[in-house]
Amino acid sequence: MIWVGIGLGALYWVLESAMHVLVFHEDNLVEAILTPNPHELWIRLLVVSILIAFGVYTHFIIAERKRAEEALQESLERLEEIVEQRTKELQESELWMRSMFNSLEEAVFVVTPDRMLVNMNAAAQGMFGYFKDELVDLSADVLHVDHEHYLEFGRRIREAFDKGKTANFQFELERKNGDIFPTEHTVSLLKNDVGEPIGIISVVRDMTERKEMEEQLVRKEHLAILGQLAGGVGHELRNPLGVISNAVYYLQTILPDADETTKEYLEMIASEVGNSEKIVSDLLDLSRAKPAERQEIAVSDLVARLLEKQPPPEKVKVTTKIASDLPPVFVDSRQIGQVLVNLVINAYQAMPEGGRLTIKARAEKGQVYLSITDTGCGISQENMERLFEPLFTTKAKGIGLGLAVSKNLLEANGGSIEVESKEGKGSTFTVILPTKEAQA
Amino acid sequence: MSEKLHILVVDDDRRIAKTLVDIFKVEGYEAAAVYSGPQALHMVEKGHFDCVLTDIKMPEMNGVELYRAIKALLPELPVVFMTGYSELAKEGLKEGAIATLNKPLDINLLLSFFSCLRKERSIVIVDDDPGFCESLGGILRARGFAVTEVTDAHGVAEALSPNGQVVLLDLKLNSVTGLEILREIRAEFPYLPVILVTGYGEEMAAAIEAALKIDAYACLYKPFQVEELLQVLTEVRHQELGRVLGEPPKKRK
Repeated sequence: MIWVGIGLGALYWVLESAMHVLVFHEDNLVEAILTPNPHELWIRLLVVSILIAFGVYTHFIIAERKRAEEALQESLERLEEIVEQRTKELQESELWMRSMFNSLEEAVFVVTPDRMLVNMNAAAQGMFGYFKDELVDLSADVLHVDHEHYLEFGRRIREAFDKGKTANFQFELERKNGDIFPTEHTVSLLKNDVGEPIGIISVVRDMTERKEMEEQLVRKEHLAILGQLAGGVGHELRNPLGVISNAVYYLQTILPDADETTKEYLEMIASEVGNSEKIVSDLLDLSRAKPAERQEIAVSDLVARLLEKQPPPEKVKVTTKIASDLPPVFVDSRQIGQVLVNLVINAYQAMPEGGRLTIKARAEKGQVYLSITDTGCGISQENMERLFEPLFTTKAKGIGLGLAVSKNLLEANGGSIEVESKEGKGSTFTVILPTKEAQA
Repeated sequence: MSEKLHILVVDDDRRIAKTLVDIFKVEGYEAAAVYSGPQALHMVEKGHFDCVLTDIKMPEMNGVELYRAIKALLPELPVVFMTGYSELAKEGLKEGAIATLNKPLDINLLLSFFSCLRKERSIVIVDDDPGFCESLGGILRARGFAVTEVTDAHGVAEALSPNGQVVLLDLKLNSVTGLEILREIRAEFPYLPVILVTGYGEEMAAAIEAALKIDAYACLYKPFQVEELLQVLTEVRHQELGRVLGEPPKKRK
């Protein structure tokens, strides 16, 4: 720009000279340029200096602006870099947060202070069976059994929040499919910097499995106590039963010529002592299964002994289908014999009007499946669940130990039992018995 | 043994003891009731009994302790426990008590047990050495056994009957090996107790093992003490009696 100033100065000088030539009709332009009038010279020099000074000034101004612009650009670039990095960090941390949020086994719900659903993790969606989109912006009411439960839940958390605590409690909730299930909650209040509530975060654990395990444990303990009691009582009953049985035997022996009624009554006492003894044995078997003394035995032998011991009543027809190439089973033959007797007696009793009893056996994966099918009255769905509970019975006579004992005995022999039944059509009990190879 | 069997019933429940004694008397046996272990021991020391039936759970001295005391005194006297199943009884059984019976007792089973007790104890000696047969036969007869000697392998089958016998079998005979005879015996009498006798323990080891596998009861090596044989015979008898009462056979060590 300095040169622009100088140039402008020179141009002015030439133009001024040219004006002089035109205005004052001087002859020579070159003379006019090189030798101006002395009184003009000062003005011309002044104007030229001003122009040059302007050029210099402008030059510096522009340079200054350029430098500023460059600095600005640089800092802009740096800023951009920082923003980029921060964004990346943020994204990473967001990813972390989200995967943490979603990999939690517990369901996590975030709701507004007035309990509208805002966010939830993957576990929450899985636990309740909803997609996130279905729930967002809805009231948490939708997760509750009914409105009353929803309100009660609110009361509980408010109570804890009022004391400045986190709420911990168990509560039943409802899945999308309508299942009601037990849960455990940890609910905290989220606050902003100035302490105003901005939301509620609720961590939910599904307690279904743990509840079941607890219940099973309790059931087992009950069984153990029942077993001890049964064993104790059974044992104590043996002596009095022994005395009665001895006394009856004695009377029957010394009174061979007693009148018919006396004989009949003695026979009654004897047979009832026998029945009582059977119950006592069942009680003792239930309380502590004797250790199984296992040996290999052919299934056909077990079945033959069974039918010999428990021949079918008149109107029941028995069919056996036992594969000839079955491997022998590895069990305590006395104990498993008792199981089969229990099952067959049940089957006969299920067919008071007669019917068909089918005994089948087949081998699969080192186990023998021995099934006993009757065409009797069948078992209702409701009774099915309690079938193996001790003291559960549908019979007028009987105290409900047969199947419980059978199950215990089977388990002691490495076996198990399965039931299928249709009400009015009949039932199939399948005992699964191990072979020796399967045990090794 | 034409004399009546003497049975001792031990139970702290007096009604059990009394009713059993009454039944046994009606059935033609001699029987006595006592109500505690020490009383029973006193009776056993003093009098003659052929069998003791005892409860397990008793104050002062339980049934198994009583059995141990009796065994020390009279190892041959059969002792039967009356109880439900109990771990304690199992110990007693391992040590040699005859059986455990559940209350209420099956009287008919007991009576068939008693009739086995009355049976004469008969021993068949199978050995090709007549001198051995004669000397051992003499000793056993003197101890009250009925003895049949068989020196010819082919005569074995005729001498045997399914019940009440014990066979003493020499493992090395001239014509037929003892192992083959044992197989023949097993084929016809699966439960007949057979005690092996051999003078060639080392050479016969394989045969002895094979024989024990098909349920020979034990093996005695000549020359053996008579006391040793008598002890084995008592064990065999007790096991046979246990079998009558439904006790599974015990494996000998």
